[in-house]
Amino acid sequence: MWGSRSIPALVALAFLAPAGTALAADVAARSGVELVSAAADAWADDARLVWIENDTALDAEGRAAQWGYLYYSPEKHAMRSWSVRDAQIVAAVDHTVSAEAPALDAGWQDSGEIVARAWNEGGREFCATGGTLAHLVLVRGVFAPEPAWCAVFDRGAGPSLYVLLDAKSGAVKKRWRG
Amino acid sequence: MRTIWSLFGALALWAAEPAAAAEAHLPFFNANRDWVLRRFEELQRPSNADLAPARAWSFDPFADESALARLRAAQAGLDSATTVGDLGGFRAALDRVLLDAAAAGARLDSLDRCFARHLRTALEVTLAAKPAVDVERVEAWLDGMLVQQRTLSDTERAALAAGGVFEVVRRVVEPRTQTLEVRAWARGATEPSRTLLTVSPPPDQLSVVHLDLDSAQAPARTERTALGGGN
Repeated sequence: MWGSRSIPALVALAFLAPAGTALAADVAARSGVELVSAAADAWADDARLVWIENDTALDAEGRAAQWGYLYYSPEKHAMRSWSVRDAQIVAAVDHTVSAEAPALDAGWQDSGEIVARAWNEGGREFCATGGTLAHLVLVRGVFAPEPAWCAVFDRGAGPSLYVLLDAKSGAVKKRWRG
Repeated sequence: MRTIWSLFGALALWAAEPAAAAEAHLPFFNANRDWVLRRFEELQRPSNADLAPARAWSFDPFADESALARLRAAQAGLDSATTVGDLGGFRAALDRVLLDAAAAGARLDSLDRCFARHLRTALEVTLAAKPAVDVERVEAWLDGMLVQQRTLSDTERAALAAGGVFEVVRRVVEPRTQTLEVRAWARGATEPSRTLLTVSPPPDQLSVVHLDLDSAQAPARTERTALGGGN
């Protein structure tokens, strides 16, 4: 069924795949902010960045191929988010429900700077028998009044480990399982 | 054989990856959305809004409005010059005018840089048409959403017929790949000319798409340029 002629055909198929399907390089969260801020500027004059989260798997250095950025506009009382991959916006989503969310201050440490502490502050021990850093979320007013990174380690079964770090200093504020 | 199937499987996974990634947009937020939004709603609101004052730019090449007077004075100085000393006065007046011009040029350069730095991501679509194609209505659509519709005035149609260019739409847009469709109805035509193209406006630049319409039914020819950024 699969003769020797099929292999070059499959290889050719690989090269014919759309450009967007290529594997993207892992990058830190801040790398997409400038691009999405231009998109948010087109959406609403008063748009403010309120949430950052990895859209694809994280590596050990806190980098991911794709990051998601959520904005809130007080004037529209609406939320819209963009997903950035390979320095391109690959998704734009209007959210059906919204709440007034506070803006992230500009002085936050990047995901690459924050993640080593999360691993050292319980992540490594939690994942010793399997598990991974599943989510990195930067938000203000949800886990803490000030902007904070929340690292969520997951083992598939059982409770996850949450490590909350101050977004400016990187200091661990809290750890819990849930 | 197993190698071939593995390769095929890997290719299938590879091709499917972006779709899966799009579905996984903001996974933690979406999984906990109601709780997160409630937490936002429970926050105390600051009483005073942080409203940054609007920044105004002004440019007047000769702010003291004396440029014309100086030029006239210099001209008069030359016309009435009868001595070498008079010519010296003329030269001094001319030097002052040149200094003002150099300062105005520097200010204009500075404004130009500011303009480029503060450009928002924008798209402008312009249209030219052959005189035989009497365009009377246009529509612009972005990603299937109507963003502009215009009925041309008699003056605009006359200008277009005389070789002029009509601005179909100019607006701030998101710097991502989008589908632009421009529909142009010629006088008496029931169906418009439809020009469909993919645009990817670069951030903080003005992307210009110029359409040249040769026929009332066929798509227009397109030319693209961009202003700002590294241009």
